[in-house]
Amino acid sequence: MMKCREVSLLLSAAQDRPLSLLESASLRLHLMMCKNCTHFARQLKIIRLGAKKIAKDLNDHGTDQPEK
Amino acid sequence: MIAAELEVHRPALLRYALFQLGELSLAEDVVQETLLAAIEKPDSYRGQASLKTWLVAILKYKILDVHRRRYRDPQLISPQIDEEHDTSDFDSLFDTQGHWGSDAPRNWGQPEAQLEDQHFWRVYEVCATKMPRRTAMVFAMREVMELEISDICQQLEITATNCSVLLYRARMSLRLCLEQRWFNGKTP
Repeated sequence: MMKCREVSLLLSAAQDRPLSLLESASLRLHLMMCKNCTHFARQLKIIRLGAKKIAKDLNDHGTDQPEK
Repeated sequence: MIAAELEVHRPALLRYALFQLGELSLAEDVVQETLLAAIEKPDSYRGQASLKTWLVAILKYKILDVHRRRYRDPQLISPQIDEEHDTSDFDSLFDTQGHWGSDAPRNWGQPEAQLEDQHFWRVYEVCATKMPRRTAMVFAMREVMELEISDICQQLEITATNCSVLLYRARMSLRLCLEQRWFNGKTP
């Protein structure tokens, strides 16, 4: 059974590379039972959305012509 | 190409460069260079993409160049922590069994709700500046420029493992900072 610490590393890694079958299975099993790690997983999503917003604002703000 | 046409885009370019580089003077320099390059080489603008898209492409190229050079700058290497290899400074978040301790992640609510909140994003940008410089650099390359790990490794001459450690560190620092400055007291 994976510990939260390992799960946090794996959840971060999942943002950057595909997980192995074993990794994603044990991750899913842990998340089913652990509220804290489920919160952490959602925090990672919000953090990613934040970064995307910085990139999106660059493309939206002050455009001289409509974006295609 | 007239300067006024380019000037309109300066604020957006600057905000982006500032998030990427973390220092206003550096960001201003790189935006200035971008606008100058556009004035000096108007021929390279073919008019197929929007002017903004062209400027953004130049800016990103220049920022990557700065990242490559600065990553090796000894002044940016943190004396306290081994950013590339070690995550032991997060040990205190976990108990001896490896479970979350007293600072366990809270419920931040649905992402959609945060997306609407301007104040949240301001705190987010402040928190991003609190990260160690090289950590912030890798985070910006991965999450804002959306580069793949292999590209980041190649640009900065680091291993994929180094890259994962830096990104874990970035995400952990950001969430801790956001939890303290934004979510604290907001959710039960």
